[in-house]
Amino acid sequence: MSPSSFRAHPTPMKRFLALLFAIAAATTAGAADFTLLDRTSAHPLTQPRADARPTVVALWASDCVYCKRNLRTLAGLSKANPHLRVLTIAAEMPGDATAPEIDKTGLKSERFAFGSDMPEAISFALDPDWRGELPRTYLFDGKGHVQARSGVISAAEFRAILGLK
Amino acid sequence: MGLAAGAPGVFAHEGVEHGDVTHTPRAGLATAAAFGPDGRLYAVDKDGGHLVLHISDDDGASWRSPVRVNVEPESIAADGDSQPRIAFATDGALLVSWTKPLTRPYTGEIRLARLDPGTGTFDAPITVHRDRAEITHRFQNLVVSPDGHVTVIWIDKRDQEAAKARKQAYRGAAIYTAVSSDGGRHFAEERRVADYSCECCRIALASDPDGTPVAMWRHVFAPNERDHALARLRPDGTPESVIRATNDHWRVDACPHQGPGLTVDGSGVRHAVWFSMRNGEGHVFYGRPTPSGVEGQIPVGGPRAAHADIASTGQTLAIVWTEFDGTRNQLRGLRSNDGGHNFTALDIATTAGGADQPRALVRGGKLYAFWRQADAGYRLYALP
Repeated sequence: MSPSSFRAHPTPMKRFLALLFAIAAATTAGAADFTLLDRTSAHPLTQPRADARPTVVALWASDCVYCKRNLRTLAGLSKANPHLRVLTIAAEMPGDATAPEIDKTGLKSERFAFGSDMPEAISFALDPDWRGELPRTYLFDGKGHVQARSGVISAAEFRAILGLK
Repeated sequence: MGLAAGAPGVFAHEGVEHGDVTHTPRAGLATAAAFGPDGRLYAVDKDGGHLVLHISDDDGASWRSPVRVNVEPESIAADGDSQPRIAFATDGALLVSWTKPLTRPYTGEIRLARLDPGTGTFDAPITVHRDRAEITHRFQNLVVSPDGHVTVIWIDKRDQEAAKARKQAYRGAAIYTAVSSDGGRHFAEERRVADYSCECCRIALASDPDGTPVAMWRHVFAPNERDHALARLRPDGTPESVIRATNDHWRVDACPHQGPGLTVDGSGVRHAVWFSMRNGEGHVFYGRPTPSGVEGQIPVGGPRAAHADIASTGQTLAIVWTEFDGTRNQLRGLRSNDGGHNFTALDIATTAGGADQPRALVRGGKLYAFWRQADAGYRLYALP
């Protein structure tokens, strides 16, 4: 897809993707698999979105065993629901071991990670009510509703909240 | 390299942020701090593959030349609840303990090194446990008893791994201890304190008035309530008794990454601080755990209070914690002169940069807060 096609069909979705590509090109030099976040770029990720498709924003970390359960569940749901959009945010600066941890779950997601900004500030920008526990997940149903959840979420709960099969 | 008196105490640590945007991994700010028997302030933090000891003769205004703890570089955990810990043996030796992460995720070994009084170099570090499986041994802490026993405690997943091999369920991890009766040079075989601990929170240690170590950790009570447990430890490291220390009933399968703080006052009353979700609201809490429930439980700080620590001298208590206000990290505190019945609020410090968890310290009947900041280095605050 050429950049001109974004201009020819400027849907909100495509504009958002174009922005993501721009951010990615600008900030992933040190961690090729992740878009690194600061407090400014983190904030929009958990805000109400206009997308008319179910979207999950999943905060996780390499040392969080419960996070991997959610990522594996999302990998399975993504296969059955191609319209499901998944954004993952590693709550750590990515090292060599970070990308393999998400690869192992089989999840294909848009990958973000905490950059060199203060982690407290990135966390606050994402969600002032989040107290650091992981996994932390934001479920957008594509109809204007969002839920923030801490902990493991079952496939049945994801399906019910997001209207998935 | 010694720093002149009045210098801010910032060393050129690898990856420490100074406001520039880099993509090097963030260095762990986690710093252990304690007053020595000589009254000096000791701090240990990470610099690449080394832990480094800093000693101040003037309460942090200046620092002597740093001393490497481990001469041979190795992997070291020093971030958040995964922090180096220090204590002094009864012969005056400084003991430094840390977690050495291994190759696989979540795995590690518990390491310990001794600095004999009057010497300038540490003994080679040892691994305190016999189990060398590449599994979780992490989140260590240590305490020295008046009789000289050194008790190291950590989170251990050997029982979880064994249950998995039998295809049986197992909640969380386990708490293990190893005890040295020669000042930390050698350790007896490790002992299990409790099954079903939470996996990723620091463990608090204090001592009852008779010198018996008391440990407090985040537990996983059935089915998945992440409340806390508290145990008195025998000289061999096994538990004399284990009680449920908190009753907030936070049911979640998640890693809170916020372990408790514990102190025992001059009357033998235990005072704790911990983070929990209670009725859907997250708070740091203060309370006095007893076998029949928590006395005097109150929320501490605002909605973003985090990582509280507590210390006591006689009937005087100090609680310190951090709170991010949207722009700055604040160090706040509470002081009680009557054993935790009434408190006075303290605004201690702020920083616009990153910061470690604060440590509450005691020396000579006076209470202090130690707070490592990315911008200002190692800072000690005498509490009013």
